[in-house]
Amino acid sequence: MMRDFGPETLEADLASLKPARMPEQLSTDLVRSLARGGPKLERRPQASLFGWLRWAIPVGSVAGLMVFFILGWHGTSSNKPRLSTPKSTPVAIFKPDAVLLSQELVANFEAVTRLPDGSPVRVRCEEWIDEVQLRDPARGVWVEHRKPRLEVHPVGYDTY
Amino acid sequence: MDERPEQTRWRRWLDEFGPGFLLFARQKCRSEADAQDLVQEAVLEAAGRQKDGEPPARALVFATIHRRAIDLARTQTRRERREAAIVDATPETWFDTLVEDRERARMIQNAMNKLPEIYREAITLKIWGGLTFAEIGESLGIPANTAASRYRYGLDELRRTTKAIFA
Repeated sequence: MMRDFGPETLEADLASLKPARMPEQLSTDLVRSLARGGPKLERRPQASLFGWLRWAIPVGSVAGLMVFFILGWHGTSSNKPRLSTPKSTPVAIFKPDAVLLSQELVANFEAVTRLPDGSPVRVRCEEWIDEVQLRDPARGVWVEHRKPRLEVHPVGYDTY
Repeated sequence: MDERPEQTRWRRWLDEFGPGFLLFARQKCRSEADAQDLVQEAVLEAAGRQKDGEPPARALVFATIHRRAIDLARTQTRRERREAAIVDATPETWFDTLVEDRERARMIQNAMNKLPEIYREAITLKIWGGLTFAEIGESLGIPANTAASRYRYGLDELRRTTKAIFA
């Protein structure tokens, strides 16, 4: 079927399509959770055999860090004879009670660059700042790490 | 079993806006299970931020889906190296259609899939999400003018693709 593909016609064509309804189970689960007023999530069965790794790895990392700090604290407080070292301050355990992870888009712009064969290509560039903050007010410790990141997305081969 | 009034209110809200949320999530995920999880988590997170118990703004839900999809994509990139042969990647149909429209809907879905993601998400949020360009900008973390530009470029690209299909 031939169609006139003016902008308004295409928009109307797209709008005539209705997004598929949500599966009944998803809708029912959500309604129950929302009406209860609490986000009790029940993850759907994953097709992946390694789904448990998604939480096991971060939990294991945190456990490893805790072991590291605890061993370090016990090491400095033990009665073992020390080699000749200057007075050392005990290692304090860092217990952040506030952790902030954020991503901030600081700039976005389009640019034209050239492929190795010389043909121009338009790209969309996004500059992000990834930030991690750990705070332990009891010890007056605040760790902040900010890392810039540049994302480049090819947009098209036509330039204007 | 009869629903409580509170449940009926939420079901009406989900019946009206849920399909748009799921369409947006399906375009960002590699599997149907991930898309449904994304919608569930995003809706509950957005609703949890409402102090008055009212349904959250659509733009907030879409913004939450967008942010969580970015995090999920980063995790999946590492996981997929291990599970490439196992993950179910069967594409779901994006639209509810009558039999005579099914082929057209499939072709438009394929054409949308070929668009750059930044165009596809602007078109989806504008046409099926019902958002203004200002709301699209808030959801995606971009200026409203950029949202409008992406929408126009996306329609131009889609028009070229669908003209070739339907001609």
